[in-house]
Amino acid sequence: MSDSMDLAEHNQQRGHSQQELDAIAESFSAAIRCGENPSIKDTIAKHGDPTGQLRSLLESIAMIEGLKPSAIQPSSPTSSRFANLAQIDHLDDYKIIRQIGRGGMGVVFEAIHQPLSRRVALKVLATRAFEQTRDLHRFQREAKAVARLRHTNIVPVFGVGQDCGFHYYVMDYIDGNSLREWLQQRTGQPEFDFPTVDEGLDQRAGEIDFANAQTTIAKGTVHPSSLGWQSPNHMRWVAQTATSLCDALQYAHHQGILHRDIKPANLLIDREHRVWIADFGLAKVNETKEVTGTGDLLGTPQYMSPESLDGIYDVRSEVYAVGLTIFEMLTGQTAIQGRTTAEVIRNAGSGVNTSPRKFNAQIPRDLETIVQKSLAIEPSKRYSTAGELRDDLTRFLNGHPIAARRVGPTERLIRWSRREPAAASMTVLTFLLLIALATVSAIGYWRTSESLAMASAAESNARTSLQERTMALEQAESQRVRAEANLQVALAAFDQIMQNVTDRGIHADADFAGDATDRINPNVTPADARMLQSLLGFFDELATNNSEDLLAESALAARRAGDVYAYLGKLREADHAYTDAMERYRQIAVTRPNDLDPILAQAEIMNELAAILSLRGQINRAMQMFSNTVTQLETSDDTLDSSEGAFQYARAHRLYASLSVRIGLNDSLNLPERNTFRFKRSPIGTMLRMRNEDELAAANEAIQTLEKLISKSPNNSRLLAELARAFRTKSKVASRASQPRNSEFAMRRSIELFEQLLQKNPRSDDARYELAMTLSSAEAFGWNPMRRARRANELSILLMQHDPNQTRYRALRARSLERLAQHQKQNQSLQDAEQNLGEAIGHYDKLRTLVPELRIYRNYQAAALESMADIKLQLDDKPNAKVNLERALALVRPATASQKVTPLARIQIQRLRKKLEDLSPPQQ
Amino acid sequence: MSELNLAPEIVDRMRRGDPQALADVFSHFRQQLRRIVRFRLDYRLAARVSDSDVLQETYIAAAKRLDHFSNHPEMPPLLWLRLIVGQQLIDLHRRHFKTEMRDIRKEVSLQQTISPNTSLALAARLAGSMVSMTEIVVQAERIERLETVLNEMNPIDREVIALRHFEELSNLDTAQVLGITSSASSKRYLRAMTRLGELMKKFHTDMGSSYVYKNNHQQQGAIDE
Repeated sequence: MSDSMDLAEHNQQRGHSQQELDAIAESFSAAIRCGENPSIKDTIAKHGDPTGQLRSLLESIAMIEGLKPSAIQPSSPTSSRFANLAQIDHLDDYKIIRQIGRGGMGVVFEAIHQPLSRRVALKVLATRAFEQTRDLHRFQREAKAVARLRHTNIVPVFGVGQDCGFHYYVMDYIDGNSLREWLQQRTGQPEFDFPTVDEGLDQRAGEIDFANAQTTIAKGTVHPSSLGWQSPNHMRWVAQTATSLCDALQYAHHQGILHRDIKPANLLIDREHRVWIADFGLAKVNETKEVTGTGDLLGTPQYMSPESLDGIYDVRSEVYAVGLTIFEMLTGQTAIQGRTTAEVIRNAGSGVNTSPRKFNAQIPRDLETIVQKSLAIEPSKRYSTAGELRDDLTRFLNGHPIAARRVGPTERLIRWSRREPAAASMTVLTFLLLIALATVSAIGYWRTSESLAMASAAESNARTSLQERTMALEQAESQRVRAEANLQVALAAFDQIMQNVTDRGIHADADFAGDATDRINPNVTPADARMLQSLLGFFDELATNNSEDLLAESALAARRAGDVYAYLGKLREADHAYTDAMERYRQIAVTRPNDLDPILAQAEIMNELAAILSLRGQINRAMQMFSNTVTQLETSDDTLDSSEGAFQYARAHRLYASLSVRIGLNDSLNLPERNTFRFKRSPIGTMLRMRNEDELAAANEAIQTLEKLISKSPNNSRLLAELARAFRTKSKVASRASQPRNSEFAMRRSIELFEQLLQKNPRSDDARYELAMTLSSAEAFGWNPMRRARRANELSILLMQHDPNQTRYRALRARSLERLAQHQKQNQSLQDAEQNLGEAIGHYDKLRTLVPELRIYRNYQAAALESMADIKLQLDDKPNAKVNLERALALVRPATASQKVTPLARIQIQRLRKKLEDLSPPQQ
Repeated sequence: MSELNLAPEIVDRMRRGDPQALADVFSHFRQQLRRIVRFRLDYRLAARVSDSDVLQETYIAAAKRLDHFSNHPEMPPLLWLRLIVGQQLIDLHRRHFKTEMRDIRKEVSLQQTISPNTSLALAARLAGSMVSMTEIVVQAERIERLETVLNEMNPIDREVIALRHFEELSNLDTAQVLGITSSASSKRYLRAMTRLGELMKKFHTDMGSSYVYKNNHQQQGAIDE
C-alpha cells in the first residue's frame, strides 16, 4: 500500500478505526484459542496504541478467554480417536455388550468373558487419558491396589488388560443402581451433584459421538420402595447399609488403601439391597504418595472434608464422607450445597452445620448424634476409624447406648469457628460467611421485629449467596426466641478465634510478655491479622445497632489486632490498631466513669503504643504517650492504689527511662526535653532538666513502685520480671550518667532477679531469654565479664535450638556473640573476636531480611561492623577496616535526602564518617 | 468458523432437502455447534448428558425439519442450525427441570443472553482442570467476578460478548446471528468490550476498598512513614 505511512501516521494521532480494532481483536482471540499465548505488549507494539483503547480491549479479551473452559481444554478435535472407543466390540476375550456408565477416568461397559460365559464390567481408559503416563500409572496402580481387596461389599476386581491401544480393567458386574440414582428416584426429582474431577476430564476426553445414548446403569427394581422416608424401617435400612459400608472401608483401610471419593455415585445397591463400594477409581495406596502429583485434587468438592481442602486426607476424612452419605440417605438432601464450584468448596470448607433432623424430623436422636459426630469439622472429634463408626451404628441398631456424645449448638458453632483461621488464609470470603451468620444471630437479640430486614442487609454486605441468605433468614427468624443464647454463642465464637490466635502468639506465660521488639513471632500469620480486622468490622456493625456492650469486645479485638501486628513486626499497622483500641477504650471509660478497667486497659495499650512508637523512631509521639499514660493514671487516686494501675504506672516509667536505649544506641541523646512528664510522687519531686538524671529518676520511680507492689505479693512473677527489667534499664541509664557503681549494682540486681525467676520457671524460654538479654547487656560489663559472656552464650545457643525461627532469639544470639567478642578483644584474642563478630554480623544479615520493618537491626549491625573495623585496625588490616566501616555507613545512611534520620542515627553516621576520614584522609 | 470453505452448492442441495447435504453441512459446523452446546448446557446437566448426545438429537431434529430451512432462503445454514440446537437445549432442560421451566426457557434461549447459570457452569467445569485447591478457589472467584460484571451489563452487550468469545463466532457470523450489518456488529462488540473493561475496573476498586482497615483515630496525620 502506497499510503501505508500515512495510515500509520494517522493511527499515531487518532487511534485505530473500528474495523482495524476488530480485526486485531479477532486475530488476538484466535491466537489465544490456539494456545499461542500472545503478548499484549507485542501486539500493541506492532499496531500502535495512541489512545490506550487497544490495550484495554486486549486486556478484556485475555481475561475472558482465560476464564473460559476452553482455555484449559483446547478445542482441538481429536474426536475421531474417541469414536473408536464407541465402536469397539471386543477387547481380548471380552465381548462388549453395552456402555453402562462413564466416570472415573473412563467408560464402563457391560461385557461377557466368552470362554467362561461370565458377565463382567470393563472399565476402559479414555484414549487421551492413557497417553498421559501419569494417568496410566494411576490406572495400573489402582487396579493392582483394588485387586488385593476381598470383601463382600467391595466390587471385586479381576484383573487388568490392554488391547487395541486401550487399557482396561475387569470387575464383577453388579446388577443394580448407584445409590445416587436410587436417591434420585426416591426424591422424585433429579438431584445432581458436581462431576468429580475425573468425570470433568472425561467430559472433554470421552467424546463418543452418537454412542449409545443410555449412559446410566440399567434401571432395576432394587430399592425397598415400600418404605417411606419417615419410616423406622428406612432408618434401619440406612443404618445397616452404612454399617456394611464402614465394615468394607475399615477392611480397605487396614490394607492401607483409602477410597478417596466416597459418595453416593460410587456406591452400588444390588437387587438384594446390598451395598457395594465401586470404583476405587481414585484409590491411592498409602505408600506411593509421589505418584499422585502433590497439587492434585482428588475427590468431588461436595463430598470433600474441610481438612482435605488443606490437602490433609486420612481415614477420618473418609469417615466424614460416610457421614455425608448417611446424611443424604436420611434426608434426600446433599449436606453440602452451592450453585458454583467455588461456593461448594467454600461451604465444604465450613462443614455441615445443619442437623439432618431439620429435613426429616423422624430421624432418631441417636442416629442424628452419630451422623453429627462423623461430620465433626475437626477430624479429632470424629470417629477415629470407620470401624468405630460401624460399631456405634451397630449399637444403635441393637438398641444399645451409643458411644457418641451429643454436642450442643454452642459447641458446634465454636468448633466451626475454631477452624476458621485456617480457612481464612484460603479466602477472606469464608470468613465473611462467619460474620454474616454471627451478625444474624446477634442482631436477633436487639431487634427482634426488624431482624429479617436487617439480616438481609447484613448479608448482602457479606456477599452471601441465595442459599446462604435463605439459611440466614431462617436462622434469624427461628432465633428470635433464643436470641440471648445466640449472642453468647457469637461472643464465644469470637473468644475462640481470639484464643486461637493468641495461643499461637503468646505460647508461654504472659508474665514474661516482654516488649514489642521481643514479640515478633513466626507462628502468627498475616491471615490472622486480616481476620481480626474483619472482626472489627463485625463489631462496628453491631455497634451501630446501638449496643455499647459490644464496645468492650471491639476494643479487645482492636487490641488483639495490634498484638498480632506486633508479632508480625508490622509496627505501622500495630500503631494504627492500638490507637484504634485506645480510642474505643476511651469511649468505654466515658460511659462507665466509675469503672477502673477501661482506664487500666487504656494505660496498658498506651504503654504498648509508646514502645512501638519509639521503635518506629517517633520519639515525640512516644514521649507524649508516656506522659499521657502517667497523667491518665494519676487522675484518680483509686487508679494508682490498684495494683494493676501501679504496675502500669511503673511500666510507663521504665519504658520512658529506656527510651533512648530502645531506639538503638547506647549513647546519650539530645532528645527533646519533656515538660509534661512530672513526678508528683517522686522522691526527687522537682522537674529535672538533665536528660540522664531524668531517665534515672524514671527508672527509680519504676523500681520503687514495683518494690512496693512486690512487698504485698512477693511471688508474683510478672512483677518480679518487670522489676528485673527496671533494674536492667537503670543500669543502662546510670552507666550513661557516669555512675558506674550505681550501674553495676543495678545490673547485679537484675541478673539476680532473672536467675531466681529462671530457677522458679526452669522451662520458661522467656525467662531464659530475659536473663540472657541482661547478661549480654553492654552496661557494667566490666563486672564479671567472663562469666556473663559465657553464660549468655550458652543460653542463646539453647534458645536458638529450641526455636530457630524466633527472630528475637537470633538477635539475642548475635548480641551475645558481640559481647563474647568484646571480652576476647579486651584479652587480645583478636582472631576469636573476629570470628565471633563475623558470625554476629551474619545473624544480623538474616534478621534484616526476616523483619525489614525493624530498622533497629540495621543500627545493631552497623555497630557490630564498626567493632569489626576496630579489630581489623588492630590487626593492621586497613583495607578491610574500611570495607566494614563503609558497609556500616551504607546501612544507617538515609536512602534519600528526604528521609528522616533519628538523632541517634545521625550520631552514628557522624562517627562512622569520621572514622572513615581518619582512615583515608581526603586528598587536599 | 465462517462459511468460507462450505461450497454454496452443498447449501443449495440442503435447501432442496438433500439429507446427504445436511450431513455434510452439519459435520462442517460440528465444532461450532458443540461449543454452543457446551456453553449453553446447564452445568447440572453437563455432568450427565454429553454434548455429543445433544448434537445427535439436533441432527435428527434438523433432518425432520429440513423443509423449514427450505422455506427460509434468506437464512444462513449456521444460523438455522443454531436455532435447532437452541430448541433441543430448551427441550432437554424442560425435561430435566420440570418445575423451573419458565426460568430455564429464558436461560437457554439463544435469542436471550448469557444466563447467570452459564457463567456458573464455567466455574464448575474449570474446576476439573485445575491443579490445586487454591487455584480453583481463586479462579472460581475470578469467574464469579466476571459473571457479576456480565450480569450488570445490558443484554445486548452481553449477548455480543457471548457470541464472540464463548461461541467463538467471527464478526461476520455474529452479524448474521444478530441480523445486523457487520459494521454495526463490530461497533456493538467494541462498545461492549469497553464497558466490560470499565466495569471490571470499577469492580476491583469497589472490592478493594471494602477490605481496607477503617481507622477513626485523629492522630493519623502524625504518622509519617
